[in-house]
Amino acid sequence: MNDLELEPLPDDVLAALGDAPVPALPPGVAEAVLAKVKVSAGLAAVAAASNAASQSVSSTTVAAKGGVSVLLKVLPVLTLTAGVGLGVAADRFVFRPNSVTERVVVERVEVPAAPVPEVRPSVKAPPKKVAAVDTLGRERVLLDLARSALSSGDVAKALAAVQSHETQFPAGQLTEEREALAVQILWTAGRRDEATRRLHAFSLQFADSPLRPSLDAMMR
Amino acid sequence: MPTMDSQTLERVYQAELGAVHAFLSRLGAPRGDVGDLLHDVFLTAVKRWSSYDPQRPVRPWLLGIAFNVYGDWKKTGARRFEEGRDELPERGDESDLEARVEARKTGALVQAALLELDEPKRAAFVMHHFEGLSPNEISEVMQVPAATTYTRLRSARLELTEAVRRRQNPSSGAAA
Repeated sequence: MNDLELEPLPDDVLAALGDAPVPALPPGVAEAVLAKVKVSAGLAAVAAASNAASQSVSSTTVAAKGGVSVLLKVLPVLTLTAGVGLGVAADRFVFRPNSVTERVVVERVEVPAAPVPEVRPSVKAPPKKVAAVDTLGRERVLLDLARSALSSGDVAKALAAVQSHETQFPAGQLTEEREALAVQILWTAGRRDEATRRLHAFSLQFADSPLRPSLDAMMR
Repeated sequence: MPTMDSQTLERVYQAELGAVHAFLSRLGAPRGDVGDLLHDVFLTAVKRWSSYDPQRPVRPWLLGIAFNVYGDWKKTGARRFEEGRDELPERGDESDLEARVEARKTGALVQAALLELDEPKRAAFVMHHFEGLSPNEISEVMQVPAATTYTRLRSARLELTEAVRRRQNPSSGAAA
């Protein structure tokens, strides 16, 4: 059996398929998705460090129309520490979304020289089992629900969504994101002791997590 | 076990983003959700990089991931299907506006015809016709016997021909 056994499409149908434009990505989405993948995969710290060497602006504003809104959906507040592992002065870039203006303000915060942890280029600190592809979407739905509830001030609902994720996917592909979100929710709910304990456990489990600095900043 | 580093991710992403996006769009992913789907596809690729055989082209492997991610996303209830949505042409040179509107109409017609196919047939057809995958490659990434892929491709070609002609000539009824 080979491809020659397949009947060719009639010329008029081939012409219609040929005339149909190739779907194009909206402007900005490609960059936003890549940034989000790097964060989710734990590659963002390394990438940020690479970019930081030539970074000279102290503060800038990035339009969030279109693609960057994808980033906004998953990163309520994202802080990337740059310079880590490169032996250069470490700066912190804080991305603060503004839902009213649909813009992301990127602030560069000087960080005093301090011993910098080694960043291994591994995807995640602890080796984890690769979950089935078909669970990733369900994981993301639960965490999106938690983020949405948190942003609207419904911490009970946010916590319930996180606990549901923990029950259904105790070692899921988005465990790191869930734990960071849990810390954020507990802190917002005023359960500071629990948040601190959970952050400690998070730090042990995900030593190189790019999500850690934003949690530190929140709890400072 | 090799892992995907940031540079490899960027290289694969730049080379394959267009194909993966086109594949998801032709499968039926709404414009508003395609960013999330692309994220899931490439995140899965990072996590499963050790299962990729570097001696083989990466596109079929990625499209297989995209097919699974899309199928799972539909099951989650997060989908917002907007079949028949009418988007304005993107801004550009006004002189070719008519041509772009015409192309958009043709694109909408083809997309609507594709959406008449059931999903496995649609995926197989898009992989074969638009992305150039062989029936054997399609069988491998969709994890079905080769005979199933051939059956799907034959059926898809017949059904798509009928759907395109019916939509091009709505008053004439059946296909030629």
